Amino acid sequence: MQGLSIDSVNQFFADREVLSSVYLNCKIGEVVGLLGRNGSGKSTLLQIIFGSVKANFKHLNINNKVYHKGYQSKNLSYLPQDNFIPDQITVLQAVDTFCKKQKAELKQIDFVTNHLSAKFYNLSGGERRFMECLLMIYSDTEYILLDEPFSQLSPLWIEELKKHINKEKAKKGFILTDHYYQSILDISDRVVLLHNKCNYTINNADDLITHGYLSGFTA
Amino acid sequence: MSIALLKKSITIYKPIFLWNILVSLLTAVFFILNGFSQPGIYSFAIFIKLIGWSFSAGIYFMFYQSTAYFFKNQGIGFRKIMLNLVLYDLFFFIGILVASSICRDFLSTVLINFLQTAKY
Repeated sequence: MQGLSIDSVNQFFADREVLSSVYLNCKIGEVVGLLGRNGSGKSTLLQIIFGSVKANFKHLNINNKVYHKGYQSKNLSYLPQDNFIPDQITVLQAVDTFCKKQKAELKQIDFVTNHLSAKFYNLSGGERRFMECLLMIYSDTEYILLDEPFSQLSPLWIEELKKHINKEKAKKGFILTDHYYQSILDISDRVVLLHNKCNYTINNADDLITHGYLSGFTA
Repeated sequence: MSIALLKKSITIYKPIFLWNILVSLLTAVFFILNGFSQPGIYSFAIFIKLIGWSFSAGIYFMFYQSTAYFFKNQGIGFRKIMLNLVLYDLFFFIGILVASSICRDFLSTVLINFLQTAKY
């Protein structure tokens, strides 16, 4: 089966178990939202998939091939929480590096066109975040992991990012996590909650209350 | 090894390249002063280069947070980056040695004069 799947993820930090037998999958054409409280292991799970954190145990499969580190497949992009493009790189260089196939589409976006010659240190925090999000959404890989893409962004840019994700999801698979849960619910085809070290499928907002992610009335 | 990766590496890892060139120049001085003939000096030079490369790894980790994902998103991990940095540096080092062996008489005269001037 074509797709990305990670299975039996177990992760300990010292004596504390963060993830226990967690399973997550994503197919092309799908946006999977990952929710969870602070410290529930959302970012850790994305980093384990990407290969920047070593799990105690995991089984990662990308397009029917097993990988030890996801980035080695060269078919996986990851937007970390912090800025990751070095200051001295220009926007044009970054576009040429990550988005060879969809360079033209990316250059149609006004914000990108207006800042092509700018270096990343000349962009504000929000502008930089928005640019990095766009670069990952339009990157040449089939699977995209976005860790808190909406943080630092104004509501208008959040809406614009959602449009770009929706546009690109026809040919890509997205896994994204953020604390702006309403945005995640809006954009995701499927929502997974990480809670008590395990993953739960969320069908509606009530499930989030049931599992204690949102406050609400309890019987 | 690729030219594109070399360009990106130089842009991003300038401090590592500068450090390696400085170590290479220092090592070349030993070669020039001792005329490329003493095995002990060769061993010492190689030792200095190895220490230099291990410091390069240290400098790399100082910049790790801001650069690791940039390369990993291109499918390039730590080993490949370090291997490339060492290979590029080897080329620079060999270049410096070849240049210094060609201009050995001139350099040894200049260096000895320089060292004597510094002494007094």
